[in-house]
Amino acid sequence: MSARITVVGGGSYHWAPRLLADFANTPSLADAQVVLHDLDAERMKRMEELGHEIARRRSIPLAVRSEPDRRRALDGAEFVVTAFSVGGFDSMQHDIEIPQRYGIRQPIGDSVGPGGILRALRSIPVLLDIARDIEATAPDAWLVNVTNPLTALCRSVTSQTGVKTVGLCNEWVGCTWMLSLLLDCGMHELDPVLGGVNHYPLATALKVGTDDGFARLREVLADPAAAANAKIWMDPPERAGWVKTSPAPFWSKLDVIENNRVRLELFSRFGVLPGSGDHHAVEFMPGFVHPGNDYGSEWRVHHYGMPGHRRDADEDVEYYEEMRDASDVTRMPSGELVANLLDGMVTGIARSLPVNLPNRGNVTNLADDAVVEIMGVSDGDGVRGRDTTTVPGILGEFLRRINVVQEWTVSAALRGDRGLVLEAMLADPMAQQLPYEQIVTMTDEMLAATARWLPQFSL
Amino acid sequence: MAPRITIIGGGSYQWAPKLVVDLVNTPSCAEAEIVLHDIDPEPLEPVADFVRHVAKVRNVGMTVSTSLDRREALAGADFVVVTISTGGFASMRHDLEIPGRHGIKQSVGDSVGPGGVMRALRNIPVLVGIARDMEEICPDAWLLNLTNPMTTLCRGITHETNIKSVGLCHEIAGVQFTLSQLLDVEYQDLEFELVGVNHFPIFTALHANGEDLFPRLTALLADPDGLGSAPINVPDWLPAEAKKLAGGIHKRDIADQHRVKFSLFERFGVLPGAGDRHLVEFFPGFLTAESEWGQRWGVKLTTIADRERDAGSHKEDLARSRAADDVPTMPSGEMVAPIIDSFLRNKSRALPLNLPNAGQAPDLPPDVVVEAICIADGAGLRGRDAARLPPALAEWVRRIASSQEATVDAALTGSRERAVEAMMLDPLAGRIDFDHLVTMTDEMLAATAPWLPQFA
Repeated sequence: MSARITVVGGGSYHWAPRLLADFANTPSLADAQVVLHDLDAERMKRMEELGHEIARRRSIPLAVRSEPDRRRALDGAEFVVTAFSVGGFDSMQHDIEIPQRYGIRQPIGDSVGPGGILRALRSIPVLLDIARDIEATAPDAWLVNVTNPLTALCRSVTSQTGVKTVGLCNEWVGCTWMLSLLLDCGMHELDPVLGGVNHYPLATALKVGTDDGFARLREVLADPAAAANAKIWMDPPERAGWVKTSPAPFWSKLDVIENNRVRLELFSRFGVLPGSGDHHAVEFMPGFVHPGNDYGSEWRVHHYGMPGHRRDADEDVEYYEEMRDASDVTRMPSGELVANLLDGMVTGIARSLPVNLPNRGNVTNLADDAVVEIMGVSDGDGVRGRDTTTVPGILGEFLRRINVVQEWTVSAALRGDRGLVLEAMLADPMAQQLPYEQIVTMTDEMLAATARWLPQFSL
Repeated sequence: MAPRITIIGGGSYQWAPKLVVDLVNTPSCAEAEIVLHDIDPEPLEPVADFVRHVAKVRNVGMTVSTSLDRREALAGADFVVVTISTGGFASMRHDLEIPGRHGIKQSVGDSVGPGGVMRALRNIPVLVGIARDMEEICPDAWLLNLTNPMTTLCRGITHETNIKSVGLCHEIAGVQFTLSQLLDVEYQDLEFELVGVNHFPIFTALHANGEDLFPRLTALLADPDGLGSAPINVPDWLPAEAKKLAGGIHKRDIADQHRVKFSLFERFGVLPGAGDRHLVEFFPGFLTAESEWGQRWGVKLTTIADRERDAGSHKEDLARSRAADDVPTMPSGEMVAPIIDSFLRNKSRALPLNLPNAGQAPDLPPDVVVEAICIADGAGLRGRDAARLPPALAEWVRRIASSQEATVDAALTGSRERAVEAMMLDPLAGRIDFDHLVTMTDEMLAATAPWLPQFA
């Protein structure tokens, strides 16, 4: 039977082309009935047409239609993918630019930090509204959230509704690619134990086939001279923004190490590997993006900032246009995990993948019900966490600290409580670099600047 | 039977004299055998001489002996009071100066912050060594610790030994006095609950004569005019000199010296209960360049020169006291004599004490050392309350506890990585970038290496 998938935010230039191609490339989903819903009718239509084109080019029964009424779009869905941004760049620029005036430069600003907190305040009521519609129209559906800040958003739904919710993110996929370069292995051979939150998944153990992956990684890191002469199996794509540092005429393992310094330094020192890009991981800890080290330039932390986010969006449009104008459909997986997850549930063939789910004792550092990023199993019974782990030492404490901020952010968003927003800011590793008085004024300024997207606060 | 009280660091001009005066003023302790131990022979005789002088003036049977041998001093002890400083100012100088060069200025540097971490690394092995000696020589004796950093030192002892121990700090008494001045309530009438760690305890309830005083404090702080014109409450028992001084002081003058704790009270509804110069070290956002290193909050940085001046004055005070023909009767505010009296006479007292968390602090992990109101009596010590904090402050204390646990672990294992972790988790040290933090930690470990044998 064909899967019924509704995509809320289905007009997204980023998500719709990738999801549709992945569905087309996944036999169990190639006959899916996909409903695209978006507030932007024109984009929604455009993506619907892309869907028709993909089905035609592949001669598959993939059925795509658009539906401007959200409740109607949700009716009968088995899977609801949510991908949206409240206020887009108009709101997001305040997330980035106001803290920047106070001297806080967020490499991304979409998960934690002052930007991530404000983004959560805007997005949580919207996602909750969707979840309540799901409760009413498709109560057995899985909500598959890919919207950031992923942890806070998923948590708001699981704390307020009975909707089955899972959050998906591709950061760990990026980490497996990095590890495959250093360990000369296939990405599919890597199997971690993860315990963390989204954009800060912490690997406490790693297998490469049957080998101890951490032992192999330590060997590589212990010998920089050998790493400088070791060619890697794939050159980094230009958009990764890596800097060539090793003297070799080819991209070497040393280049991989030098362009992933933060997470590999933390692994060397503390034995736990952050499984997200450095630009994400540094937002979860103090001390790496700091005036004292030129905001992380010495660590080669890549700063997106607003120009970077706008460039990404432009590239998404180009990607869509290429796909639209091509004569075939790319066979390349997007790297996103939605199709993998759904395939497990539709076919009943178990798949392991990183997922964001309520903690059921999986991460002992965090309270039960907190939303954690862990390895999960998707199969005919749905999706559930696979491992149990304790993150040791300082990374365990940083994880605990950030999760406190996330829990307070969710409460602040649900209650429209300014005091709680300030408390979250005071406890956030990036925001707390500022003097107390400035955190107070920055918080007020950010709330005021984005007031029109924060109806739950009387601003 | 007269208790035998050994004071380790008994040559301390700052501590030993006032503890002895309190003991002589406490009938159950007036016949005590005082044993003074110090590694420095120089002050032992002057302090012992002072004890004899006090006993003679009061005509009580208190006796004194001295020893440079710690194990000898511990023999037969019922109570062991510890007032030490490993390396003294020679080591402490580095606690302040090295972080200063890395852009961290500490107002005290003896509890948390990079200075507090290093001080713990130096003192923990010494305190644990004393407690281990006690396990062999006087296993039933109480260890009363007055040494800083109190929380981590007490935790080192309870982590490693089974000696009965408690940490005693006078900071609460100071805040209690301030509150009595502002709220027109007698010092001894104030009743409260508090919870936290040493130098960062938080009053969660405050009453006098059946009245909840938090609303009154809120109203007072919201009324700048009233504060400015109202004279402070001056208790009868103050010495005449002090009474005269206090006459010209308005409540505004007092409130201005406590801006940090009152700002936090206004925001969170509970009152941090230590001097502001201590409190600001427990948060990242007060000791900043922008606040002129606390000046805008009314906090002055205590320097080594200030401490040297104080130490000199303690020495002069002792010389004067030895020549005086009376002994003060006013309690010093230290809790050594009261707690011993409670043990000896089964006299129940509620005191703010530092003990392992056995429920006093439901917001903190078990076994970490917490400061809370406890009952002292013939049966020993136990927590009285289970005081909960508002979530924001609970998290702040929890964070401090995590850094303190890493500090204790670093001190016991001699692990440099654990020392780096303790620094990263600390609110002041954690404000600088990671490379500088690692460099600073290395520099501090190197500069104080003579006092850190476990890191060799």
